[in-house]
Amino acid sequence: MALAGRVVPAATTAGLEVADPIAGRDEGSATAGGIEIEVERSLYSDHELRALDEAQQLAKKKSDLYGEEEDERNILLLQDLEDMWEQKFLQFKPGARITEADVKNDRTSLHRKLDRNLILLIKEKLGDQDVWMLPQAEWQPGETLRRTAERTLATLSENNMEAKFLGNAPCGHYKFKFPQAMRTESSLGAKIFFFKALLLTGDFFEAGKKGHHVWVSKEELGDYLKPKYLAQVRSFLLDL
Amino acid sequence: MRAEPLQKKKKVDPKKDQAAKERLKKRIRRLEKASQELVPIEDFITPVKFLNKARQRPPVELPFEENERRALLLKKWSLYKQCEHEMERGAIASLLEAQREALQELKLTAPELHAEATKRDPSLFPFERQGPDYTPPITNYQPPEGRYHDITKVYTQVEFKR
Repeated sequence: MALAGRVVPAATTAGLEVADPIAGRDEGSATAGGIEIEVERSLYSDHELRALDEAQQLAKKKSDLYGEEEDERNILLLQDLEDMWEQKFLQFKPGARITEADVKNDRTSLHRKLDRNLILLIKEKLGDQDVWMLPQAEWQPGETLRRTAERTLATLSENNMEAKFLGNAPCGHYKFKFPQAMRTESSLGAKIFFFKALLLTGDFFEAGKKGHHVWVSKEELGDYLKPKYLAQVRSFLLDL
Repeated sequence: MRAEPLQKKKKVDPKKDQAAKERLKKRIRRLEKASQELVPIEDFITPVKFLNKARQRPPVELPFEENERRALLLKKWSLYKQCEHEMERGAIASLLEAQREALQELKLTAPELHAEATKRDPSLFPFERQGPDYTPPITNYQPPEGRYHDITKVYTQVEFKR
C-alpha cells in the first residue's frame, strides 16, 4: 500500500518552481512581464485616483503660497498610508518554506519538502535481510484487497493515521518469486498489489521503535528500494 | 346601558369575501403571465463608476526592446507550458498503464477480487482536499480582531407552477 503525503501545486506565474530546467532561468522575468501588462491594460483604481488628486493639490498649493491654508484636508496623505502598509509588511514574517527537518534531513518527519509528495516506507525483516518496502500485510481470505490495505494502515499506525483511499482498484502490482529456500509445493512466489491513499491526519507517534519508517519523496526512493521493486513502484507515483 | 346595539348579520359579507378573493386571484394570474425577472448576474454588469473617463490610463508607448522582451517571454512561457503538459500526460498515461496491468494480474489470480476491485466506490466523490500554501502556517499566530459584515445581495426567485 502506498501512502502519499501531500498534494503538489501546479506551477503558478508567481513562482515558477525548478521542475523544468527550461523554466528555471525565467524566474525573475516572468513575474515582471505579467504584472506590467496587467497594469497597463487596467483602469485607474480608487487608490491611484486619490494619488493623482493629491498630486494636483500639492502642485496647486505650491503655486499659490499666499492662498488660504486649509487644514481641513485629510491629514493622512496617500504616501503616509503606503508607508504604514510597507512597515507592516516588513514586520510580518511568513513561515519558512525550508523547515528544520529539511535542514537536518530528518526523513522520519512529515514537515520536510512541503511542496512535494512524500511516500511512507517501512523497514521489515524478510528472512534474514532487512528490507525497505511500502507497508504491506498478507491478504486474509474473506476480505477485499482494499480492506487488507486499510487493516495494514490501522495496525501499523495503531489507529493514529487516517487516510482517504482513492478507489477500490489497485494502482500497481509487483510479483516476485521466493528464493529457493522458501519455496514450498504450493507457493512459488507472491504478488503485491498497491493501493493509493492520501494522508488526512495523524502520524506515527512511536519514535522508530518497532519498524523504521521514513517519509520519502520520489527521487529519494532510489536510496531505499531494490531496483525491480523500485521500477514498478515508480510507475504509479505522481510527482510533479 | 352603554352597550352597542346588537349588530345585525351583514348579508353582503360572503359576497364581498368572494370578490376580494377573485381580485387577488386575478392579480396572481397577471403576475404569472408576465415574464419572470431573472436574477441579475452582478459580474456581467459594469458598475457605473468605472465608465468615468477620468479613470482611463493614457496609452503607454513601450520601447522596442521591451516589446521584444515580452514577445520572447511569451514564447518561453508557451514552451514551458507545453513541456509541463507533456509531462503530465506522460505521468497520467503511466498511472493508467500501471493500474491496468495490476487489474490484469488480479484477474489472473483471483477473479472474485477483481470483480470487487472494479466496483464503484460511492464514498470517493465529492472529494475535497486542501493543497499546500506557498508558505507554511505560522505557529502561534494572532489574527487581527474584528468581525466580518457580509453584504452579499441575496436574490430569491419564486417559481410559479401551474
